[in-house]
Amino acid sequence: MTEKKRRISLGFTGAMFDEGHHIIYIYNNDAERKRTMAKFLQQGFLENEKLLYLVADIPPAEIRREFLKLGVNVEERQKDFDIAPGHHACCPEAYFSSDFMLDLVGDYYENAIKEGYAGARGAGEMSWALLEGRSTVPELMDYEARLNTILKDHPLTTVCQYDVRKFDSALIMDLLSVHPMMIVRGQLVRNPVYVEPEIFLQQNQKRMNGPHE
Amino acid sequence: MSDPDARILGKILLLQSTLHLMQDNPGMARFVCRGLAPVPGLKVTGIFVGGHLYQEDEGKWLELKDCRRLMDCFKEGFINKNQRENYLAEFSKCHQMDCLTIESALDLYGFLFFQTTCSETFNSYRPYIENTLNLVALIIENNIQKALLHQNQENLEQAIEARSRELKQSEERYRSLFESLRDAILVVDPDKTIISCNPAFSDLFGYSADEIQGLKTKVLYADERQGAALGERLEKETDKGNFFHTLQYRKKSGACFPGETNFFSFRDTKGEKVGIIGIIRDITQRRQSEDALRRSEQRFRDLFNSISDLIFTQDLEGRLTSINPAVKKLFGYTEEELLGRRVTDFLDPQYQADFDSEYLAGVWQNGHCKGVSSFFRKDGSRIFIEYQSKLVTPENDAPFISGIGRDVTEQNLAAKEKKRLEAQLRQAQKMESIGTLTGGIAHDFNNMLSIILGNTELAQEKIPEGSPAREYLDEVQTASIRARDVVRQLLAFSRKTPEVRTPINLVPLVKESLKLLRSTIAANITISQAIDEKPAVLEADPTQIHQVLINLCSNAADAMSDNGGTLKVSLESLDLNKETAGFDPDLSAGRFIKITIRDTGEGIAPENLNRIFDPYFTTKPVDKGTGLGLSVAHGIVKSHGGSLQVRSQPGHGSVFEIYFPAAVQLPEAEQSPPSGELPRAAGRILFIDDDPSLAKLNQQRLERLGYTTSSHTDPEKALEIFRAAPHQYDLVITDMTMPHITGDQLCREILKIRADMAIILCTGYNEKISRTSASDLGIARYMEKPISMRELAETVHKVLINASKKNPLIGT
Repeated sequence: MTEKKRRISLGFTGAMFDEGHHIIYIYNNDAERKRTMAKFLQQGFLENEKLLYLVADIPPAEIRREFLKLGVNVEERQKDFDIAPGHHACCPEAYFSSDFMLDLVGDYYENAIKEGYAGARGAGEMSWALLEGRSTVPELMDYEARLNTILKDHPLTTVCQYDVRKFDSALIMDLLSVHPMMIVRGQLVRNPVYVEPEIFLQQNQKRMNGPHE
Repeated sequence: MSDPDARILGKILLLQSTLHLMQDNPGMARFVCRGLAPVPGLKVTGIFVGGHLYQEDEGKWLELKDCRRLMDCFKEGFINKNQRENYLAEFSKCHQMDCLTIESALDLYGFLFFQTTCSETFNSYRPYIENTLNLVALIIENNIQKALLHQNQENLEQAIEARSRELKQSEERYRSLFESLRDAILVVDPDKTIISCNPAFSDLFGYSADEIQGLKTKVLYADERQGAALGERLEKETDKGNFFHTLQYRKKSGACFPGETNFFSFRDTKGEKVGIIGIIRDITQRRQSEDALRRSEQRFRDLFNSISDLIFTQDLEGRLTSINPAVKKLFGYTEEELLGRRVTDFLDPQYQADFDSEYLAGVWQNGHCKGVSSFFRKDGSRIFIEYQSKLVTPENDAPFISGIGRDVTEQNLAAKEKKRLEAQLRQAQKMESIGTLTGGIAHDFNNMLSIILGNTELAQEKIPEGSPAREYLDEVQTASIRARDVVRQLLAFSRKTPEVRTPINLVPLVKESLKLLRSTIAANITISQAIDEKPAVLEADPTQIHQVLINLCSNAADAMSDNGGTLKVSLESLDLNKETAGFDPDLSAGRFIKITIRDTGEGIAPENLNRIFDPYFTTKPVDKGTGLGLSVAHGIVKSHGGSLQVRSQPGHGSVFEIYFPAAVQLPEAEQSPPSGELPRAAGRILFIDDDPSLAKLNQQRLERLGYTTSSHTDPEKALEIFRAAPHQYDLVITDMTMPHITGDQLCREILKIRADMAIILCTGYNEKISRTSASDLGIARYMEKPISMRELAETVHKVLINASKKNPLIGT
């Protein structure tokens, strides 16, 4: 648990931000998304942060190639980053577990600090969560909302990537409400539709108890 | 109106910010509905966009058809804003909901349906909501544009792909062509560096594609200077278009060959020249073939030009299109004067009418035509050409006439001359026949005349002068003598005797010639004569003089053949002194006989006067005259020492004047006119004549003259009698033509028996004997019947006198 948050750069924007933001990145352009994420992660190298990337749409090798394009010596820095398929990392017993995922985030940050990193940042491609039937909307919403709480004590700057082409737009709107920050046209903006986790969780509980959408 | 909540506005802004991510309309519709949900005073019921209706609540607020109908009404348009608002109000009332349009400046895309829970609050957010809906419209439009662009892009990509395939196929085809062409192809850049070549080039030059690439073109030229000169020209020439050039190339092996090259530039898409392509063809074999063909053509041309026969071609109108030198030489025209002209321009007018109907038609219909025609050369002289023409129909060209010809002028003239000579021969043969006939007739005729004349003379002795009977007998005698002369004339004209010039009197000869001429010339020609009866004697061959007269008179008659006229012949004797004989340098002064032959014919052109005596000169058609008549006449006159002159004027007839030198000696027949008593003498005469009448007559006449005469009609018996007593006779008189033994044979036998026997041979006509041959035989005298009493008396007297001088016993 850190008390003072570092001011970090996100790489894709020149502004400085506190570490530990929970950011939603809604995209419909893969190339733009790759560039943005590559800059985000490259900046992590520069910030002496350990990196976690949970892939679903992009093969791990492609992420490494992107690192190389950016001039990152992937071989040398192999220990500085972890790239894994999202469903492997987040789905024990092949099914998404919000608790498991949240523990993973907290532990990753703690370990990074212990390893001497200044901090950690992570990015996840979330399409696996709903498209492969590994989770439900409420469950996912539950995770996203609770992540905000976790990140207060374990400021792992997180970017959740949602392909608008693969997710329902209404769901996108709900997802917006659980992410305090949002990347819009390459800029980080505060999400005005953000709902505090406690409030959102209450509302979401009702849904979780109801039929799946 | 209350101020809108910043948080709500922020949400609206976030909604607006993320709208661009919603590319599909249904997703966007839901996103908008969810995004506008927290706006106070606004209950979104649904949204119709892109033909899809999304309703937020479970409740069924609207039917899709209602939305489409609403859309159709808006698409049709309203007259004005009021009408539009009235319609929306009507809709709201009907469906108990409001709607806002989702439209841009270009089009209407949908409606937002909602209920207003608090109009005042709603109105404070209305601009932001409308702005959001406009943004939706923009995004939809943008999506449409993108879709269209994508579609167009897809179409474009498909077109590009198709075109690329075509291009690739085309490139493959051209590559295949490039590789497979038999001609060598070379590609060079503007610096003359070789870029590429095809396999045919490698085969021809021996360089592989790798070897040649990057080399300069000069390595290919056999002559560097030639190559350099070419290089300078190539830029300019290929800018104009294709440039063909032949030059010597060098292979890798060093061997050289002539190459015909087609150079052309190739350019990029901007039209900039990027290089030059050369297509090279080895023309060694072609050159050899061309040389061989050229040599062959030259041989044929030499042959064509050297052939002496005529070779020509004509078009189907008969115009000359080509000729060999022999044609030019023969006609005397240049090639330019001949080519393009119709053959009829040179053709004898008598053949012109048949040229189209017979020659051209014959060639066209039968494929060939041959014949002989006469033409005129440039100098006006006539030539005869034997021709053979053939129609030629080449496969890819117009038909034409091809022909050969040969100058047969000499043969033609020779043929005509032959005809003329044949005609002359026939005439001569006819004359000979006449002569033979005349000879046959003359013998009998003379015998009969002898009887008539002899008995008339005997009767005259019996009848005193003054007696009427004597007068009758005198007439009989005159007529008999005239008849005798006529027979002699006939024999003279028909006899083929060698030239023997003797004094002849031209008077009867001219008269007799005119008599003969009368029957041979046209009846519309009148013959008049003015002949001086005084003897006009000259030493001449009567046959030749006759020839001269006939030739000149025939010529005069020909000049009057068309329209008739008068032929006047005059004969006179005159003296010419040195001055008056000066018209002919060959004449000397002296006595001359002048024969004038005048006609009223067409006359002779002045330019021909000097040539009329030239051999073969004639103005008559070939079959009408050979041009020899006047020449022969002139020659005969000159050979007799005379002169032949002519005066003529076109349209006024001609005058020919013959001058013969007069002879001093009178003709033998008229040397001494008969007068006085008949000479008589004694002697014994043996008379032989197979004609009993003549034998009897002459016996009487000889006895009248005092001779003892023994006459016989059988020469063989007479010979026996003589043989029995050869010295019993002083003189033998025998006829020539007798049966069993002719007179000359009898004479030989007699002379064998008695060599000094005096013999007189008499003949009516016998071509075997003449005065000369009789003398050679040893015969004392030769006499032609009929023999008058006086002739008989004088001849017998002379012979006996001569014989007695040799043998004094004769006459005793």
